[in-house]
Amino acid sequence: MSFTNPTALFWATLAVPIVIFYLLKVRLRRVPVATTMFWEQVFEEKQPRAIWRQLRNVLSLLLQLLFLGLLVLAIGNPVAKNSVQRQRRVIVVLDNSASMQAIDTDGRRRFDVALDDVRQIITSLKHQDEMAIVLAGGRSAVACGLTSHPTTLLETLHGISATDGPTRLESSLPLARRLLAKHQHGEIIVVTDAALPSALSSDVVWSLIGNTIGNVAITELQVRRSPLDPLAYDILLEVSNFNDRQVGFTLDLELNDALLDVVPLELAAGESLQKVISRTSREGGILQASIAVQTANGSPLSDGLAADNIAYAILPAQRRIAVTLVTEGNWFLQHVLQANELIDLTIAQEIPQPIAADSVVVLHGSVPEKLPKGRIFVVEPDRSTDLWQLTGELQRPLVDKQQSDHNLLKFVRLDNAVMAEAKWLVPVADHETLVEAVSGSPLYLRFARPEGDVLVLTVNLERGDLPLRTAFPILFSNALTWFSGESADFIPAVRTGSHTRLQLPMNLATAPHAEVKLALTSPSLQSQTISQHGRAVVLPDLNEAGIWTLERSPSSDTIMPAAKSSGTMLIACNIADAAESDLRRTDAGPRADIESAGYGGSPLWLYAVIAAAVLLVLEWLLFHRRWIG
Amino acid sequence: MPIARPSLARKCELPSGRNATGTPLRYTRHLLATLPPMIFPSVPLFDTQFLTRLEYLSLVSRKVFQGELMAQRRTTQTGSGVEFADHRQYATGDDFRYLDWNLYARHGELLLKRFQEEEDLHVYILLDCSRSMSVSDSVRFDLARQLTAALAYVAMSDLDRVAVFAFADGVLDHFPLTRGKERILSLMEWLDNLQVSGETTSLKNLTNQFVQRGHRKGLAILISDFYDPQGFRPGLDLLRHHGYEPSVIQLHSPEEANPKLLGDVELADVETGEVRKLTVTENSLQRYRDRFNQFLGELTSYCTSYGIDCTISNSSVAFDDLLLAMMRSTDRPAPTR
Repeated sequence: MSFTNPTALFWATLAVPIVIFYLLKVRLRRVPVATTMFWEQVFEEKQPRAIWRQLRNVLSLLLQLLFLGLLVLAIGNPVAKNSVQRQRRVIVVLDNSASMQAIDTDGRRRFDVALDDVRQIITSLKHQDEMAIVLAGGRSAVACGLTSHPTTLLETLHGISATDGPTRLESSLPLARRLLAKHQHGEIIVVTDAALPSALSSDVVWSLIGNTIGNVAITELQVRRSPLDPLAYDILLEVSNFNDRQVGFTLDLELNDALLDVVPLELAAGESLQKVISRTSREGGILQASIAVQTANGSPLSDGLAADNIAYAILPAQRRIAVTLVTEGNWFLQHVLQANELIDLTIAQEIPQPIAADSVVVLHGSVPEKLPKGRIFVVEPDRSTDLWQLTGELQRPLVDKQQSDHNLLKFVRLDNAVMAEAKWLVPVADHETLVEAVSGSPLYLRFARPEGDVLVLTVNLERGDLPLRTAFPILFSNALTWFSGESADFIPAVRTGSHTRLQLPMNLATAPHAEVKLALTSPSLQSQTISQHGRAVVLPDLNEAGIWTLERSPSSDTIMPAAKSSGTMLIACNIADAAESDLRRTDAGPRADIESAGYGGSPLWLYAVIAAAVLLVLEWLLFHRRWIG
Repeated sequence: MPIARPSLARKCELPSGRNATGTPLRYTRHLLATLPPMIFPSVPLFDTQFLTRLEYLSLVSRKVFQGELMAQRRTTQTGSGVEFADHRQYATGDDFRYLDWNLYARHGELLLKRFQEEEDLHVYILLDCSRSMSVSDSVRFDLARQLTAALAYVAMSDLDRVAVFAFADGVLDHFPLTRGKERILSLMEWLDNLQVSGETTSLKNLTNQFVQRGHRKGLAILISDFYDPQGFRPGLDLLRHHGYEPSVIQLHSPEEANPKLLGDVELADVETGEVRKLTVTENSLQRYRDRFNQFLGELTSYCTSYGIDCTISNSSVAFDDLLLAMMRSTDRPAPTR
């Protein structure tokens, strides 16, 4: 046996004053009385045994010394040598993914069963054992580091809740192994409802939760603006049946809480149905798809997980844009702008002075030497400006490079367009070439200015078939959307637990090299702050399905001037994970035989304190009870 | 400043040998020396006010008993009194002077006239002067002496003869038989000089010594705490058997009836000097109270069964209140033997 606090044994010297006090005769209070004959009669009735009377003080001393010894032992915190050698290190990997919210056939939530299992592991720990809890839902994280304190573990466990994220055993197990650090008596216990991997590791004990239950889920929901019609939008919907039989149900579509459509569905066992639904709306908003929990005939749907029955998507609003077309006359330009229902077109001969902040000017041909402030789209410039140098004309240009992933060129392909002529420009300012000819001359480029972007299309519209192609109105639509400040006509609905890079709207975007704090608020109104610069943001793992809000922090002062008015972006987040929604269990699901320490798992100091308390009671009963009884 | 009254104290020698419990007296004296000295305040025991209250008590006693108290009461003896009692048949040897000749002339029957003989009552007050009468203060002993003086004054006022005996384990001192109210001052001086002494209370020794003196029969009033290890019965039985009419006044302190002790204590018996180490608990306290009440009940029961006046009192009451209560509680005629 060894002591973790051997200096505490110094307290044993307190035995000396105890013995001294015992040896010193305590002078009793002397009380004169008229007669002691009544007292003698009283105590003759209940005379204490002589042996006991003699032993009483000695026994009292021994009990007090024993009491002191036990207390000193407890403070010294003794540890048995064999218990040190058998010290366990347990890493519990707790799956708190979305599927753990499923209700099993016994009516219990899988996560509650998992919590009970972990509690059982905690209570079975011996005092010298160490344990850590690693989470495997949404993202891998250490919820509680290695500790021998059961209360800390239980409190941590109490604060853990199931997420809407996917199971991350592939990253949690390496994390657990790092915590284990090749301990001699280390073990990893995985409490999960996920399927067993094909190759089982010997150092992992699996405690599998749940049994086979059916489920129906929305495994995908996205919405985008139609590239052809600014008011139209398309809904991509994927619904999966994870039952072993055919099920029929309805799916409700709502836009801003207004019922949009009720889609009856009939899915075979294991079938996933993808559907595209087109509707029109200028305002946009929150699109919600939900599975009715009752079938058409009124019977309850075989659905074990409710969280994947609802999915959201964000449909961007389309705002009207004032466009001034300064041209001497171009039929194509005039009609392509007039065809866009979101554009309020004005045709002018001169550049308006000043240019309204929320308007776009399209200059065709004639351009000033110095381009005015504001958002300007230049088509076929006829002279050099402060941004470029016009060096000549390019005959029959061929498209060599095109940034197809750029929002300005979304759904636009110019490589098959026949262009007879284009202006040869040499940019003299900071620019971004979007389309480049084989000769190296830019055909479509963007100048980013603090006072407003300038887009330049060098192609002669009257010679060639570009105005006749579908790419032409789309190109203009993209450009006007870009100028309007909206990020895009498509805000993807993200999946829980996935890293997502989003294009921010202008009202949240910052200058390219400026950093700003954004507040990200979950559907349960828990906020976190993220840093961002430029127009793109990488979201952290979103582990809660629903509508998230991204908005400027109050301290932000580097927002682009065009976006000072309001700064809020809605982000739809869905489980959309077939692996989480499929609650059918193919393996046997054996429960781990978790090692239980049984009784005797408490530290020795605790037994010493209990024994001291018993002695205290005994001493009181033997000696001090006389004072009251 | 409180001072003792050693100058007035009558020296009472301690008997040699062993005390009643068999403890060697040398040891007992040693223990007694460890007890706190009995120093009492110099408040006069018998002052002018006391005498005034005595006079008042005397008047009250006459009103209450209407001449039936102590003296002026008839004895059952017939003799040379002047008041006719009854007749009896003449027997040979009777004095012819007491023959009722008128009755013989009328009926021809020799009847002897009997007269009730009047005599004064002898009152003996036996005052306990053992150390138990004064444990931590002299309140009980003072009350006993005041009671003695008051009873003696009432008796003297009724022309009775009074004698007072101070006793502990035997008769320590006595005030001789005397008569007349004017002797009350001498008695009070004698009482004032009395001091507690002796080692034990022994009523049997007291009554043995008392009856051997051959006093005339009369009323024997015992003022004591009756804490006699041998019990009160032998002493009272002896008095009764020798024709005395005992009367009992038991005095005890409130602390004796309801002690305020708890825990480990050393109880020192002020008479024997014995020390007893005890652990007093609530249970043992309750048993003590039961035992003490049982003792008082036994005394009362004994007195009731033999027609003995018995007064049990707390020593915190005033002597005149106690005496008035005694008078008012007396509902039976005074002894006439």
